[in-house]
Amino acid sequence: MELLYEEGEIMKTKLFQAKILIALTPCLLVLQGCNQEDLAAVESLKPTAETLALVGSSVSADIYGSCVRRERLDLEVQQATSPRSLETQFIPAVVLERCKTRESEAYTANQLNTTLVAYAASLLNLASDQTVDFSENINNLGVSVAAVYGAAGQSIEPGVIEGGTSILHSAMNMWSASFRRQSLSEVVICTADPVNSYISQLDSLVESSYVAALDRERDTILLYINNKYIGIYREFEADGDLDKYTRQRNDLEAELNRLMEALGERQRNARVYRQVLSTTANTHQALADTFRGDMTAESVSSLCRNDFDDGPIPIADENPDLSIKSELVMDGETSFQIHKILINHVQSVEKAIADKQ
Amino acid sequence: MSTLESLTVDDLLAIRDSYYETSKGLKNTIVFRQRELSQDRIDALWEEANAIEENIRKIENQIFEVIVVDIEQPRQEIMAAIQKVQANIETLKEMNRGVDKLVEILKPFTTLMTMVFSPGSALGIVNIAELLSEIEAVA
Repeated sequence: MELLYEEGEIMKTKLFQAKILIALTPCLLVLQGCNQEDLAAVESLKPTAETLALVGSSVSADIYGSCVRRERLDLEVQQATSPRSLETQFIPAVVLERCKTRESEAYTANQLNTTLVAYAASLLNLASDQTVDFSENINNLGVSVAAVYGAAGQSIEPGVIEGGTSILHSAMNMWSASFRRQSLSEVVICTADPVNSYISQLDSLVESSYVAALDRERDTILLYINNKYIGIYREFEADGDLDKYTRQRNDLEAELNRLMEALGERQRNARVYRQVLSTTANTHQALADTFRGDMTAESVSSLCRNDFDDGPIPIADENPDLSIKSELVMDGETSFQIHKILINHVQSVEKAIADKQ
Repeated sequence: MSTLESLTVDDLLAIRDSYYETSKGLKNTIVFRQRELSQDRIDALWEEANAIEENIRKIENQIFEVIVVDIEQPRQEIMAAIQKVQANIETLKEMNRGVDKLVEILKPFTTLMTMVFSPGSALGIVNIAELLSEIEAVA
């Protein structure tokens, strides 16, 4: 009799737990949705990573390409006006020698760009919901638990396993969302200065190695075309053949247009690349400022001290002593600001690409 | 007198641009006044322009070296940040693998329970030993 009473009490307790679990599930699901929103917004950085990868690689490759084109045209002008000076020199070999430094600059610019793309991609990866999906495993866990209970002949209120699984699912995803958010904000805060300095140096390299080189390429094209024209005009002076002169002049004009068009495309590419670099630096700084909120300089300094030597970021909940990290918690206003920053960023990148087209 | 190594990027860029203007002027003179100039004079002007361009290449090499040195520290910090992000993603994956492991552990346990409690089951010692070793192996 006493045993039956105890069993009845256990059953009541189980029923009560089941009811609480089932009632809690929708609330947890709603909370989970809110917490993931700011992370999903970071995915709007995707076009930046793609543009940097695409435009950056063509810009860095053309640092060398531009030098080869320019030196070749320059040497052709030299050969036309001073054949003796190049008598014993093979032009392609001279071009390679003159562009030696550009080759290493192109390689370095590509490596630097790749690092920036990898950084943007890793932030995306961390923010992305695709990083980890517990759904399948937790559902399997529910099935296994239900099977154990069923096989063991235990009676259990229908919905308890399902409710428990849902709660576990939500709790795991909430935890992982919180972990991702905290990691993301800490990485962005602590790399604010290096990212700014890095992008500024990369931009400076592109400007000194490429933008100036394209301007010089333009000068060389004009010199080459003018020199060719002088030759055509001399021939006309000598033979007075107007048809030949007109035909050669038209061909030369077509060549000039073709060279200038290709150059213009490269200049637009360089402009887009530099705009995306600049907007990425601004966005990263704005994100860091927003994530930082009203943290003091000392807190930031403590947060970032040896930051990259200690592996994954500990979670504040697991480590109550980590008061600095707990300052990273984001409220609704912060999330809203982050959305605004990222929307502006995407618009700037899209505008730069549209302007190029 | 300052050496190239002691100059800033901005100083070096200014010198480069000034050299470039000189070289450009020489080449324009060669092309646009080639009729008035003797061949010897043209050859000499090319020699001068090429020497200036060689200096430009040296300056550009120096600019590149300064930038590469300046960028190294932030580059290392960014690389470390990437590694940290990867470590965090690995932590999340580990958690996922933890749940997966639990499912694996529970599967043979379910089979064991079925064998024990199903009516008329032939409960063999060997089978239980096998299942237990399977559970241990997974755990």
